[in-house]
Amino acid sequence: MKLFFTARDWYTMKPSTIRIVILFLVLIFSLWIRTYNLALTPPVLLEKEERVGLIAYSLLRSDFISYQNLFSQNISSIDNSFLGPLTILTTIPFIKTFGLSTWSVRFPSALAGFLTIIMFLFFAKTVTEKIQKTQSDKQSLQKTVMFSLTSLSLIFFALSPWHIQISRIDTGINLGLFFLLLGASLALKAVNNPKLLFFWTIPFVLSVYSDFIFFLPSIAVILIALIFYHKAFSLRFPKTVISLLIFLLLVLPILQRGITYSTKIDDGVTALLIRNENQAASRIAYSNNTPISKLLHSNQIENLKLHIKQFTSYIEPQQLFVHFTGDKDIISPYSGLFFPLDLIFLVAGLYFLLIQNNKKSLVFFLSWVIIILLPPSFMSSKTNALRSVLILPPIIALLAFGCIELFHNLKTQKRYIVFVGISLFFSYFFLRFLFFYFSSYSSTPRDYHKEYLQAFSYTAKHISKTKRIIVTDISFGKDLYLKWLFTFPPSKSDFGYIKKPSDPTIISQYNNYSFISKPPSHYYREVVYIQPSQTIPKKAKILFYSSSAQKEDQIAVFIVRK
Amino acid sequence: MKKVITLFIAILFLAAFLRLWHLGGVPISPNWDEAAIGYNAYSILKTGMDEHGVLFPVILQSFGNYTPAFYAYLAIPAIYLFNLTVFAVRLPSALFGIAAVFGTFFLAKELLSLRDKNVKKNTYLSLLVMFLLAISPWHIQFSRVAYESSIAFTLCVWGLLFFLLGLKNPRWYIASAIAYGLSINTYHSPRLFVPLFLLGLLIIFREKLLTQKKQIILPCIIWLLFLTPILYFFLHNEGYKVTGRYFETNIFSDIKIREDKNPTYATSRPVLFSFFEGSLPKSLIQITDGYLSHFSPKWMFVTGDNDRHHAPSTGLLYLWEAPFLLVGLLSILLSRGKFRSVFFLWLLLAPVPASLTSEVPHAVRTLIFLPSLQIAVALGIERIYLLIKSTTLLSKIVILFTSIIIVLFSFMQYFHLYFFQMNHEFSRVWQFGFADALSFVEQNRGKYKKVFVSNTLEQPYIFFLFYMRYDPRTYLLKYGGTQSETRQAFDIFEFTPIDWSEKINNPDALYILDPYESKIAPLRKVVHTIRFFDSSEAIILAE
Repeated sequence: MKLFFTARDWYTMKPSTIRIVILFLVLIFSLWIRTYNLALTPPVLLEKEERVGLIAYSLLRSDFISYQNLFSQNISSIDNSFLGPLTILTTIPFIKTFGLSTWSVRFPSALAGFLTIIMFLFFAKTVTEKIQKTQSDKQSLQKTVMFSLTSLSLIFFALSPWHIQISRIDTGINLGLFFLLLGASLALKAVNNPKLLFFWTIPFVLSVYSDFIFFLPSIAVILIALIFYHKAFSLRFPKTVISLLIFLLLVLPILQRGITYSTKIDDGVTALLIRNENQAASRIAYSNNTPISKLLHSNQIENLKLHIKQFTSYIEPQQLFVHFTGDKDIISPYSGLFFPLDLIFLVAGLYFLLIQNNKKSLVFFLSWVIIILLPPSFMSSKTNALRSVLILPPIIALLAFGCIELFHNLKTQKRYIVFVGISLFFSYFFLRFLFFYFSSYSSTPRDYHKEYLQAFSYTAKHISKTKRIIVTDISFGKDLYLKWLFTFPPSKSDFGYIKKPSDPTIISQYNNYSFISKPPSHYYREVVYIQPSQTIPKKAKILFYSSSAQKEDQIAVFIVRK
Repeated sequence: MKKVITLFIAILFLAAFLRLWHLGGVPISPNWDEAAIGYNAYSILKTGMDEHGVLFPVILQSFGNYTPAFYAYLAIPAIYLFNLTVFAVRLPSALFGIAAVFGTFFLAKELLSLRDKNVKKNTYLSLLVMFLLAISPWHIQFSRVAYESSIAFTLCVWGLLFFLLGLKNPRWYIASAIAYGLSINTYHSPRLFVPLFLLGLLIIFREKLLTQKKQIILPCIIWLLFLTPILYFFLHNEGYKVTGRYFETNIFSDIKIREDKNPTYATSRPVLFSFFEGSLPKSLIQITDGYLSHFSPKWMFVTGDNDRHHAPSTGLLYLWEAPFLLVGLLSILLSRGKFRSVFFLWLLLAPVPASLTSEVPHAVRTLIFLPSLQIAVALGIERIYLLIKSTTLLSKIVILFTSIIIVLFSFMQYFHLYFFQMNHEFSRVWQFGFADALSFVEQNRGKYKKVFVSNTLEQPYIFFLFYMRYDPRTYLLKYGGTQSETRQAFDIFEFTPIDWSEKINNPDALYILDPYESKIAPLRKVVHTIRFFDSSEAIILAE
């Protein structure tokens, strides 16, 4: 009853012990939900996680001087081009303690995700204070409402299906988001606290060091802060300049990689740009090359439409709130990135910001979202839930604000019913998300790796280490060799040697293992082959089949007869 | 006033031009639905019966999708005047499209008067709304094809206009009841949209309507009378004729099919599974998903859905309308009064019928969105105009000039894409090729005793009936009309899935096939290949 009473008057009561206890319980729960079954859900490590784990493992086994390689292109023959050095460093202690495993690679991510929630509380509090200071007395938020707003933001953030899923897979993103929020909060604080002016850009540097995804957003947030608070910053011009110089100086070692990463266009976009060019040429030719047709059907216009299309893919309401189908490898298709009810709160948040004429906050939220989503709209052909997760903080803050204001505008008698209704609705969708997230992941296609792992286990046990083994990875990408290295890491610091492959189909070569992208044209008697059962030659003598019930999914280990 | 009338007439002429110019040739070919409507109208004109031999049908069986016959009746005068041509079949849609643009001016004026009593401002805003609808890619697309949704949309526009006029003079309610009643008998979506919308209007204007109690009884009776055909079918165990299309497209049947493929944990945790993913929660979630998909900016402004529903590289609205739409929506949201209620009632109910179906988002089933979106865009333009009004003259000129250039460029690009590129790029989706196939057969009639047309070509018989203007009397009396959805025969034609083991030794036969079947069939020689405009094969004629 006490709890219900507190919940009913959530937004008007003074901060009380019970509410702090509730927040504490939410934090504990959020940590649990981010670490529960971490090694098995999602079942397969991302290629990026495999690389982080392997590099961390390699550095752990080398001398200290090898750490300078964090800024090179590869470490121990693993491509390191776009991995944040800080992410690798953060992973090292966990690998040292728990060994090279899925859990030890993911745990820092979950931990960073959890710390981000706490940082978000700090950020939401700072933002709320700013909102309060920029409003007239009549409209200003009460302290208690402010507390409720920050607490509710924290609850929304902690239980966000998007953040829960991202927290379990990618240390770089979570670490970077933590530092980005710290930087944004410090920027807001530094406006009134000159002592912080020297340091406010450092968290942004750390976020770039965590993941190169943060290169442009960090610069953008710094610029937004400078534009929004140009008066305050110009009052302390020398300190501001020094802080910016610190940023530049610290970013310098990874500047080149940051720029390359931020301007890298994926193959899908390149193909679409070429298609646009051909289409424009065809249209112009069909219109007899008239000047007007050249103007109307210029491929530049189609390219612009393409980028707008990519951008709008990120704001598809059904994808955001009901059923996200963009990144099935990492995001459960049984839920949206937000819960359906969040849409109502979001609209309410926008509405109340507008009627309170709080244009500054509105512009701040919108520019954050646009700045985060613009780069991937130009560079990626698919919606990327990892990259776009950076829009989460302003959206969560906005929908928490909408929720509070909705309650505020309800008659007291109705608040009971609405609160119960919302809680039931929210609980249903949250439990639904958990049920499918933790039970249905085994149906993802990347699970095919398990079949390969069985084959690798067989060769590790039964095949001599001097025998050459050729693995055909024609099923899923080029990361099978990483999976193999991750599962059977060599004891030496170096993972083997790379031979310059004479055959262009060879992806990688490690010790006695060669990984190729299509079945070999010639088979040799002295070699052991691992490849999908559908591709094995007639003269093969099968040594082992993986356990899949589907014949076409089975992976075979075989040699060839005379 | 003179200026307003001149602008009104100019916009109406523009709307008429965009809807009537090259009506028979763009899109390049009628699709199966248009061909079916056309031939059924022709058949009713000549015999009083449709292709299935039903006398003065209320619903056309067509290909088993049971579409309301109202469009076919509208097409009869045009077919009578211009014979059975693509132009004649599409003409009612184009004329109703123009009527929608005409009605939108008055509707916008009435609606805006609920918000603001400034008549002059409302008149110019209404002209702007009318203009936006006149050049709307979404509306032009469906005003130029024989789709029932275009007619239903116009009737809904007029229905609401008459309702709003009825608030001042209750006699208009009768006209409103007729328009809404007809719309229910024209297309599927209004059967759900109209009752919900009318209920919403009753709630919004309840105070006024209570003072008009006596005057609304007759319109209510008239409106209910329009439900009698639907009631008749249900009472005579022919409800499937009303719900047939619904059962074909609704998401529930889709879910039923997929239930068999549920993963293993469906059986290992049956209680939890049915709680979270049983038919009811799954349906509700899918409906929400479908509903929200109609508010997707990508769908509205960039991609559209099916290629048959938009011009190449074009969305349903112009890209430049997006910011104005957003500003307009926000300004309506912040406004007070009945205008806001009616507007959002309309906007939020428009996608409801389509969200119950499987192919979402769907531009045809949500045509009723218009012209609410144009009203929001116009109000957005007004808002931004008021903002720039306070700026310097130079910036005003720059902003206005740039805006005009962008709008003009977008329109010209759309115009070029629709009228000059669409036939070239989308001939495939418009089932191009049957007219050429028939012309080849006519030229070589003496050579073949039998022509087999494969059903993989998607209801080819209706295209042959349509292009041949085959006498409906002969078709009905001699061949019994359309007997089956998969096998028809008339004249020397047989439309059927071809059994190649039987037909292999038939030297006097011509086979009309789709390219894939022609590759696997044991043919003697290909005598003619009809190609789409992109040079790929459309129809193969072979011996």
